[in-house]
Amino acid sequence: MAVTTEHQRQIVEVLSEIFSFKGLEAPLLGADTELDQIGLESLDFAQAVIRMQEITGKDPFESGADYQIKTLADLAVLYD
Amino acid sequence: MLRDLVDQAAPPAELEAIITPTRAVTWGQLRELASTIAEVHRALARRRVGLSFASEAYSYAAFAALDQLECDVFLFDARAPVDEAFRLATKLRLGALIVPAAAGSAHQTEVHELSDEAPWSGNRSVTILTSGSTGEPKAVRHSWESLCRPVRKTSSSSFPRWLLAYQPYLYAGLQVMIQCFAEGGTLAIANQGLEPSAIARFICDAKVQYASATPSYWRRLLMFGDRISLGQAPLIQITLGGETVDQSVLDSLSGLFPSARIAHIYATTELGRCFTVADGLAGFPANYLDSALPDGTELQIRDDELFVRRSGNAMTMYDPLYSAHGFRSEWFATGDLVDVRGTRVCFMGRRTEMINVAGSKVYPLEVENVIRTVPGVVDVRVFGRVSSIAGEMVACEVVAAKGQNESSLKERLIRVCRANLSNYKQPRQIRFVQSIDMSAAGKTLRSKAV
Repeated sequence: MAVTTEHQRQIVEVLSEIFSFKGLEAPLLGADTELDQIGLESLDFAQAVIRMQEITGKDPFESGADYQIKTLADLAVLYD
Repeated sequence: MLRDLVDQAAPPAELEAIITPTRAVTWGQLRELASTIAEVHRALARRRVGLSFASEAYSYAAFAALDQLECDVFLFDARAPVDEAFRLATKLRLGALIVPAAAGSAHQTEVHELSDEAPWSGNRSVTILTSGSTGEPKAVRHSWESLCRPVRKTSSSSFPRWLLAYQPYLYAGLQVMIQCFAEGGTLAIANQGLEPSAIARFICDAKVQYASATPSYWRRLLMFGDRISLGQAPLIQITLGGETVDQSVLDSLSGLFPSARIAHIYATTELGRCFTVADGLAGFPANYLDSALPDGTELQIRDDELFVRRSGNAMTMYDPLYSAHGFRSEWFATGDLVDVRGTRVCFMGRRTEMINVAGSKVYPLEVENVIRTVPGVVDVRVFGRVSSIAGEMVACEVVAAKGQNESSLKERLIRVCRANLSNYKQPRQIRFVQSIDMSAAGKTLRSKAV
């Protein structure tokens, strides 16, 4: 499934950047990509959250909220 | 004591005492100025007096005058806001504060009397207000004996020429001044805010023989100053102090000044100079830990942190009116993290600078040392960045060499970090900047970003 929102598109871009940072080829990413299936480590995720904060000015994890995130779309919604 | 030093060395009256890029003051003029100030301000004798200290001859003259008047002198940063100086002076219960005079005044300084003065300590003393980057400065009182203890006879002929690259009102700046004046030398003051290329020219023009500065200062000078003109300076001795020395800055300096003695000093505001290392290597020999050093200083490692104990009487104490803790000859936790590697003790960074990435410790210096090896990187600062997911993440600011393509440099940097650092130590945020900020004391700022 392709991306449908701006935040999804930004997350795809950020994750692709992080894969290239790790010297890996980014997997095909879309709204329904399951984030725990693509080899994303916890520090990679932390890095993605920092990048997204730089882009959107928002950090949904700051308040320590216990989100359930499965797909890329689930993550993107938190920035809406 | 300052007057004694100067009188003992007896430099000729026409010899320059203090030179800045814009003016020179001779020993004769400095002595005369000090006498005039002492005469005019006789009423300050044996009192608690604050001195707003600038990198100018009149500040040194006023300092010598207050010393002659046997005052408890408190040194303030002349560039700090005046209101702040008055607030601190009131808190310290000083009797008077000497500040630069307003433009057009007949004198160069003005004295402001303050109420609620605490009693004189009974001895002339110098209190340094340490350069905390956040919060209130600590007031650390020194006797002249403790300030003069590290002074050594240099091997050169008389009247050495010293560069003052430190803040004049902090410990390191006072050390340079005392060392220089004790031998009747000339103090060349590279004013704050001077561009590295101008500093390089000044060092050359002023014929500086002895230069002491922080590694950050040297790095910036080597990076942006003209190395060809810098290399022509008649340097006999180069000293690095105030922050941890890395091998690359030592190597660059010895490459540029092959005949100079290059030494790095370990000192703290509270303890003064603890030891000097001059073997061209970063860190210090592990056998320093085995027994007391010749001057009685003892070193110990506890929980990865360097502890120091000075023998003999305590020379240094916090001002009792201001800071709660007294200081005697007990073991002192320096806050510097160290690691013994073979026969060498290596500095790993400040305890408070340590980055905690999801429970794993990262020392900024280790990461900086890796990044410094990347071709095209001229300077770097590594610090912790708050992360809602991992507690902290490693972040860095990088100064790229002129003409570098930033995105390809970033790729190279990432590759080198990946090859040399564990996953959690790799910087996850890389920013290119024009220069690395330094604190007032000339040290790389590693304060954490939020």
